[in-house]
Amino acid sequence: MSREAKVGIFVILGLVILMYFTFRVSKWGGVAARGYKLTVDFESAAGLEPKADVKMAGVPVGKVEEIRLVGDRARLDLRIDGKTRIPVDSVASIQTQGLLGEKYVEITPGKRSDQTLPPGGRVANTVPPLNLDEMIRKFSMMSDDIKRFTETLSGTLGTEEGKQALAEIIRNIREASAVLRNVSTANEDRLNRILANVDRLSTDLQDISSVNKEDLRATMANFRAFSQTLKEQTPGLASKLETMGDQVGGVVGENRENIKESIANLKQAFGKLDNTLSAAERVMAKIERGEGTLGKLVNDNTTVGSLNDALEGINRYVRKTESLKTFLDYRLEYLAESSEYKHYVNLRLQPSPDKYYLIGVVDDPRGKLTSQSVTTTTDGVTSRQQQDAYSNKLKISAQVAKRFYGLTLRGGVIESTGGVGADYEVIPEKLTVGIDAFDFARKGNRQPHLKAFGNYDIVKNLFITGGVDDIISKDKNLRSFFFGLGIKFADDDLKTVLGAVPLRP
Amino acid sequence: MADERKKNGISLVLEHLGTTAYRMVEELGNVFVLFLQCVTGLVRPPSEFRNIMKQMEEVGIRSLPVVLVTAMFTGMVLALQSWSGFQRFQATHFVGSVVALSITRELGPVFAGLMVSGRVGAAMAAELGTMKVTEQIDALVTLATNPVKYLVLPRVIAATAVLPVLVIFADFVGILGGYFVAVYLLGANPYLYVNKTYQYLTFTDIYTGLIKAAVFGFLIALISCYNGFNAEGGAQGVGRATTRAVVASSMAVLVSDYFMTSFMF
Amino acid sequence: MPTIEIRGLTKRFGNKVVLDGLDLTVPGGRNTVVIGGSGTGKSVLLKCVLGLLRADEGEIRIGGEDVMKMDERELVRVRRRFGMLFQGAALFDSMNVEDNVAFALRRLHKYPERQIRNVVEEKLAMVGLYNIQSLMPSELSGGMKKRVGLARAIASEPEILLYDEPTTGLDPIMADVINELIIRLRVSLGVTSISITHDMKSAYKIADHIAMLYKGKIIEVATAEEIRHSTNPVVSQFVEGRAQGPITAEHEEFIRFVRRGGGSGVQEEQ
Repeated sequence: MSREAKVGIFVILGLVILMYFTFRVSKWGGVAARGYKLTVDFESAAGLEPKADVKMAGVPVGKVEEIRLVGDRARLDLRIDGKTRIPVDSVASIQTQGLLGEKYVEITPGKRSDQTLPPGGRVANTVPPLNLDEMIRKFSMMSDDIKRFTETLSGTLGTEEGKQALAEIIRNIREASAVLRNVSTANEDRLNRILANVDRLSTDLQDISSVNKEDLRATMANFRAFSQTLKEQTPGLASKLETMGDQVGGVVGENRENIKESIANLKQAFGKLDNTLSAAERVMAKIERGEGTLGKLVNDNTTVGSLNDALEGINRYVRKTESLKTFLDYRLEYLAESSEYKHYVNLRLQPSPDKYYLIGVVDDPRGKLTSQSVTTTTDGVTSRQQQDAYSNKLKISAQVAKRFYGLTLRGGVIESTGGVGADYEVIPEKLTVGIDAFDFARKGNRQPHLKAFGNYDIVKNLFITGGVDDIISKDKNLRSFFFGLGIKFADDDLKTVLGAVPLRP
Repeated sequence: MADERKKNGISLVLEHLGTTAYRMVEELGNVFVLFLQCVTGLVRPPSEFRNIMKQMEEVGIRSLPVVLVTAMFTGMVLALQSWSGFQRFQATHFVGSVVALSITRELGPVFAGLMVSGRVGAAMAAELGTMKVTEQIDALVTLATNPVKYLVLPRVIAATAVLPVLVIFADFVGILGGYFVAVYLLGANPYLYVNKTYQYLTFTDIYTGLIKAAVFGFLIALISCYNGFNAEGGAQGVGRATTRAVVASSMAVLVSDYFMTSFMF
Repeated sequence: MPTIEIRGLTKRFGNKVVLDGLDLTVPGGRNTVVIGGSGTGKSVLLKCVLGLLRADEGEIRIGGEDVMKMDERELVRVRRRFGMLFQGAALFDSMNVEDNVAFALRRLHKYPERQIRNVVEEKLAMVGLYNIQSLMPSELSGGMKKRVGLARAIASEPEILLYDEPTTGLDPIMADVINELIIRLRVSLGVTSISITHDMKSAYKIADHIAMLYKGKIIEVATAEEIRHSTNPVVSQFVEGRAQGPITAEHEEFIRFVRRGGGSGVQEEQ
């Protein structure tokens, strides 16, 4: 081997390693450009670095590709491994590995494993990252509240008067509770059952509430307001209770007979209460069994399911409009046989990668056929001849297409007649071959229009096309080779071209 | 002689320091002159292409084994050391980052520079020194050849161009060495290790290392050639020149490394 | 062939004056041998002529052009007219014999590459060497090295040849071979040449003129026969190789001076 060759190999090997490094440290590093992209918005991405891990159930499934500010929120572009499917109702959160470890994005998979996020989709549910400072601030606020509350309490109860009042209250309560105890012993079973029911109800509520955290938060806020009021009212309440207790005591002393009667009444009342309780119990039982609207709402699993479905539907709709892509293309075909030009303009609306709608206008030089019979008489022989003439006509196409891997099947209106077509992607995003069949009921008993073609993308926006038009036509001058040129734009390009006019809501 | 004995110790020391400083400045000037001669040689024909190739082979390919072994063990020991350190606060997953950053930014270029200054610097000084004392350099002049252009320029160009390439290899092998130790010896998670290796590494880290390497190569070749060129007095003189070349170029590597690091980062 | 005229050449190393206003005329097409003791500045003289060393004063005219006034680029041009045989042959260790001989040819692009092989063979034949092109200098004997060095010196067909101690370190037979070569080259190529040597046998054999260098000056220039019978005591001591004479007398004086200085130094330190 010559010296130059050795040095050459040495340098090239070095450059290869350098390229490898460059590749590894670039933002594609690790996951490569494979896999698909998802976005997720967080209130704060503090501490998160590009190339941080994305984990699902603790397993790394991708990388954070980019972090940028959109509005006042942090938008993360995630690059997810191709194999990993993420349910639409998954929840993303920013987690920390250990106490001081690095941050990563954890995706808690949702239940809907049949509905997964498509490439470019957005993880809608996020848990705001836990902020240590914020937490500490809230804790200190709470402890302030508690301190103030206990101060008020001790201020009220610490005085002699307060103590007496309290003692009396306690005494009264003791008496009342003694009575209540009698009642409750009698109804122990029922109470237990009620409590059990309430317990179950609260469990159900909890389930609901976990779904409706916002509501719960509002409730909590209300509750706090309530407790605040309670706190403010406590001194007044105590004095009221005191007077009440006094009155009760006085009344007791004065009217023993009456009391007896009252107790009898009370007994009666308790009897009624008893009935009420059993009624409540019955209601509970009903609720539990799922009778009545509330019961249904609480107990019926399908309710929750349909609620979820409704949300799902909304989600799906929103995603659809988000992932809708628009393509506009124009092509010019030169028909070799007749030396004529055919123009096409197509608008393709693609709500998802596997489906699109195509609306197009075709300017066909042989679109309109006027045939007339000409009768000529030559030397006494009359012959009838059919004369065909073609003229320009604008035609309309509207097709629905569905894609299965490389194969796309189309159907609908092709050049103002019914037709079907199929395309096959030979080289992805480069070479497509296809066939169209339309105009099945052609004038003059002609064969259906069959067109075979191939499209080749030279660059992103420019392609060439070629093929055979009207293959099975018996008219020689209708069957023709053609070739042509086209330009196409995706909506991103269009946006640029049209000065960033938003094409979708 | 009698005069010198009258001087006291302090003035002797001062005189010695002054002479040393003067000689250092003079040498620096001479090295710079040699550099200027290289620059003028660069623009004059003939191009020393074959010579440069030969030196690239000498400096690059023949230094590769020693540089690779050094880098490999540097990476390995780095992984070992940082592992035992990081284990104390449960941060062993950062070992990959530490190894990668240290190797690419600092240890790869510096160790490759030191190895090359030991191996190639000595060889250059010895070869040129021998040529000097056996009048081969004079012979070059009589054969209408500028010795600086013929001998120094190709070495300087080759070393400047090839050392970054060596450092790329060193970076790669060093990181690999760290990986082996961490994964197979210390039981690090291979996926996590590789992940962390490249997560905090930026392209800047790599190319600043390569710039350093180029400067090291330049300094090593220039200093070694200078010392070889100025060898005098037979085999002993060649030996002296070689020692001076290795010491001076190693020092140049470390000193210039500090200044480059402080300016570039 | 050019005549070399040296006038008032002075060269100092620090305080030491090596050449002190030296005058010498080297006639064209002739071989002038400069003799003198070791360390008298013979090699310095040659290097000044070549421009390897810059003299401090004086002029060196080669075919009328003053080398002393030339810049580096003009010197390179003038040096192409020279060929030099170094004392140790100074062959390039890293190249084989062919590359050594062809060195200047390749650098100067004097011949197309395919002819160089033939030229090398021709020049080696001129010094009596055959089929050694692929040997490395380390594989050659001293005499062969000298001859290869000579072939290299004459490869680019110089007008002036400089010989630095051509016979030093060779056995008498090989020394005579080299002497014969030098004479033959002068006859066949007609070059102007300067040899420096202290080997009188060689000097007598190859010289048209012999110049004696002593204390930085040329003290006598004459034909070999005249030098042999020179009346100048310095020259006669040197050519006859006597230990006693004006040259060594001064040496002994110097030795005595050194001894005195050293002895007194030891005493004072005690």
